[in-house]
Formats: sequence, C-alpha cells, structure tokens
Amino acid sequence: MYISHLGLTNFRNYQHLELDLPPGLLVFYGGNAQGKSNLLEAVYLLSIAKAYRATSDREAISRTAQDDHAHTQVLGIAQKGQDRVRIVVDMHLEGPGEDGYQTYLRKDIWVNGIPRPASELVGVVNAVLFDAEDIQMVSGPPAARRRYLDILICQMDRAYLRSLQKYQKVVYQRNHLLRLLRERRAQPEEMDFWNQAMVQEGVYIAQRRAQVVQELRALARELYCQLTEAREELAMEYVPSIPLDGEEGEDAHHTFARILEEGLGREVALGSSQWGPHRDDVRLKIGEMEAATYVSRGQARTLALTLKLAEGALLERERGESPVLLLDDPKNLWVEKGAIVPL
Amino acid sequence: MTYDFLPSVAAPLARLIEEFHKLPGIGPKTAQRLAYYLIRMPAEEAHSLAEAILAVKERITFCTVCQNITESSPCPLCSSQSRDRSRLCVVEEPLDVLSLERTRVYKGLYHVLHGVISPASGIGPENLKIREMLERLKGNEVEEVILATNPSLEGESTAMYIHRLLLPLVPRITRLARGLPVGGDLEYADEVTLSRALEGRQEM
Ligand SMILES: [Zn+2]
Repeated sequence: MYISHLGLTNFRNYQHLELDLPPGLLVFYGGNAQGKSNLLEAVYLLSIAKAYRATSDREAISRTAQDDHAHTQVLGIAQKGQDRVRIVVDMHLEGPGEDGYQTYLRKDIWVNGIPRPASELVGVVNAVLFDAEDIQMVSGPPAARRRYLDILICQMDRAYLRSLQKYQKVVYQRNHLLRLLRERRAQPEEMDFWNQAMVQEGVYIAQRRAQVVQELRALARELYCQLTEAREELAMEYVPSIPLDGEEGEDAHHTFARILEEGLGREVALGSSQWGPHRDDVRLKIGEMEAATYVSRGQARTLALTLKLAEGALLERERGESPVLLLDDPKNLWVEKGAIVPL
Repeated sequence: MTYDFLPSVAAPLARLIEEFHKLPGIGPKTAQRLAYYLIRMPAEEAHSLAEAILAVKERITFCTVCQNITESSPCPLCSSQSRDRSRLCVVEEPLDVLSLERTRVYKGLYHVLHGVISPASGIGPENLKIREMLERLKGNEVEEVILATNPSLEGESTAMYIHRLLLPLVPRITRLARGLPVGGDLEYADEVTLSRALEGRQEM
C-alpha cells in the first residue's frame, strides 16, 4: 500500500497543498521549519486520526484557522493493490464548550465519502512514524513503551482500541472512588462494578500486549542483528503488574480480582489504582544490559529504530500489506548510517 | 466572579450577567451576550420569559411516587388506571421516560433516578432517588423491575448496584437488551431500537 495523493487545508503551516506521490522510497529534504515533518504527520493522521505527539490535536490546526474557526482537512488517497481508498480527516473548532471558556475540537472522518467513527479508520491506512523523540521508548518512562505497544495493537485490532478506551475510563472513575473511600464518603461495595470492569478489560489488554511483545521479539532480534555489528542479543519482555497466567491454579481473571480485593486498603491509602496494564512495562535488554539505564545514546537510538521497524514488519505480516514508513530524520542520523538502505 | 474588564457596567446588568453565568454551559462571554440581547428585547417578551421561568419553579414539582417532573403529584402516569402496575422501569433522567413512552410498547410504571453513579463527578448512590425506589417497592405488587439505565460504564455500574438492593424485594429483575449502541444514550435511540431493547430484555 502507498499514499498516492495528499491534500492539506489549514494544516499546520500549510494553507493549501495538493501533492501526488509515487510509490516506493520518497525523500523530502530542505531547510529547517519548511514543513517536512508536518507532511509526515499528515500521513500519520490518516492512520489513527490522532496527532503523533501526545500534544493536543488542536496544534495541528493552523493559527489562522483556529482564529476564525475554519476547517482543517487532511485528504489522503491510499492505493491498496487495485483499490483506492479516499480518506478525509476534518477538524474544526466549535464552541464555546461546556465550561464556557473553551472551544472544543470537532473531528469528522470520511472513508470513501461515508462518515465513520475514528475507531473504524483503524487499519485502513497503516503507518509507522519514527522521529528523534522515539528514543524515549528506550530511555524514557514505562508510559512511552506502553504507548508504543498501544498504538501498534490499535492498528491491528479495533476491539483493542475500544477496550483501551473503556479501561482508561474505569481507571479514572476508580481512582476517584478510592479517594472518596479514603475520605469515608463512599461504601466499599460501590467498588465491585469498577473492579469487575477493570479485571475484564485489564486482563484482555495485558494478555494482548504480552502476546504482541512475543511476536515483536523475534522480529526485533533479527532486525537488531542486521542494523548493528554487535554480537549481543536483543531481549524483550512484557512485565505485567499482575500474573498473566494466574496464580495457584486460578485463571488470570480470578487472580487479578483477588489482588484487587486484597489490596484495596493499600489502594485507598494511596488514592490510586496500583495494579493493571496502566502500570505495566516492557523490559529491553542488550546482552545482559538493561537498555533503560545502561545503553549509550547511540545504542538507544538504534534500538528505538529497531522497535519501529519491527512494528512495521509485524503490521505487514498481520495485514498482508506493507505499512507506510515515515522516518523523520532532521540530523541525517539514519541516512548517514545507511540505516534506511536495507528497507 | 468579578468582571474587571467591565468597569462601568450598570449594577442590574451586572447581576443579570452573573446569574446567566451560573447556568450550565454558559461562560462569561455568552452571559454578556445574552444579557445585552435581553436589554434590546421588547418589554412584553421579557415579561413572558420571566414568567416562564417562575412558572417552571412554581408549578413544576417532582412526583412523590416516581420522582418524575410533573405539574401535579402523583403524576398522571402514576395515577393512571390503565398502566400495568406489576412492572417498574428504572431510568436515569425524565427525558428517558419520554423516549420509552414514544415506543408505545411499555405499559408499566417508571422510576426516575435523576442521575447515575459517577465517582469522578462526586455522585454516589445516596445522591440518586434510590431510597425512594426501595420504599416504594416495599409491600407493592411489582413483579418485574426493568433496569433501563444507559449502556455506558456509569449506567452499568448503577444497574449493578441497584440490582443487588432489589434482589430480596422483587421476583424478576431485567436489563434492556444490548441492541442499544454502547455508550449511546436512551435519549437519542430511535423508537424501533428502543422497542427491540425492551422486548429483548434479559434476566440479570
Ligand atoms: Zn409519578
């Protein structure tokens, strides 16, 4: 699959742009702040209808469009074999919103002219974006590695996206209830539903992530060998906060439920949810070295690239078509090293 | 709230702006716009608006039986002889009663909770009309309670909480079928979908 056309309206620094693109490797080059990264970001937006960086989607709307509530549109035509898929992501500010002070962002998505919810965009265009910030996957906090897995799995599995959204709401409500319990403003039995929902979604999310890490591991190990002359092996392991195979003959659901029941006192004292996939991590090792603490910056960068390429390889295997690889390389780190040549 | 950027606004106007600002979804800018709009409004229209607001407060009350909004208590639904008194449908909001009535499938009685359990919004069971519902069910001929809260997390959580309280009191407790879109509101469901959800209700 490749993107054969890109149309931008009021997207970041582009007021209007129509661009026909060829298949194969494509390099955008030019001076700073000309909008090369913004082009990659636009393609990425077509894949999950969210901005790549955790910053708000609002920033993708050009300054002038924000001021007069004009529409920002990203149009992409994806060529999938014989099929052409036309995708439009439209964003504009509406408001003032609920609290009166804020405008809110309205996002509409059309696939081949039919309005679709964001969750149905998943899997239409698969994209893997890599930029300098991605080094966080190796040396940053666990949240960066969870995010990496979540974005990857969301592209393969719509049910996972829905489950993740539900789980986030459960954690949010549950944390509030824990604090109410601490202040004795709620009854413990009010927790039953939230525990049940947390177990249901949490086990599914953690097991799915663990399974994907297993699939990634083999791919990443091989890619890491190709990218470096190093003889050390890359190791990758999902570290769940709850035993995913269950304990003492129970299944994972029962074990998680028991942990929550037994740990309620501690959670109430701390006022936040202590167990579940929102506390999990992925351990990366090179040889015997823990990547998060011991590797050099150069090694970390190579490792991050490896993870991204493994993501692309897994998506390709799952969906039977190659994803669009977007490599943002402001300092020529990869081109210089020849890292993109093996692609 | 003080409005430093309106140093010379007349006191009655300032008061009106402040009152508007207390309403849900109305920020300072909108409050100003509404207030200035009212100034230009013909006197009769302004009177009629003020009267409508007072009428809502003076003539609208809550039904002591089902807790729905009504002009007289008990409300027409609760006092009607043609309703099936063996069934009670529990809903989140008064608007849900209207949605269910539109289907013309359901002939039983209602109970309005006026909200759902949501720890994040500080709403617990004691903030809902649950106690009133339990009182109502004591020594009553109700044979089935249909829990028709929305299929959202909060709606499910409320249904589960109430279910436990109802177990010793009611022979049959059911939940609307899953035909409703997840996260969707009863309020926005069309009549056909809602009728199917009612007909396909399941034992909890
Ligand atoms: Zn009534």
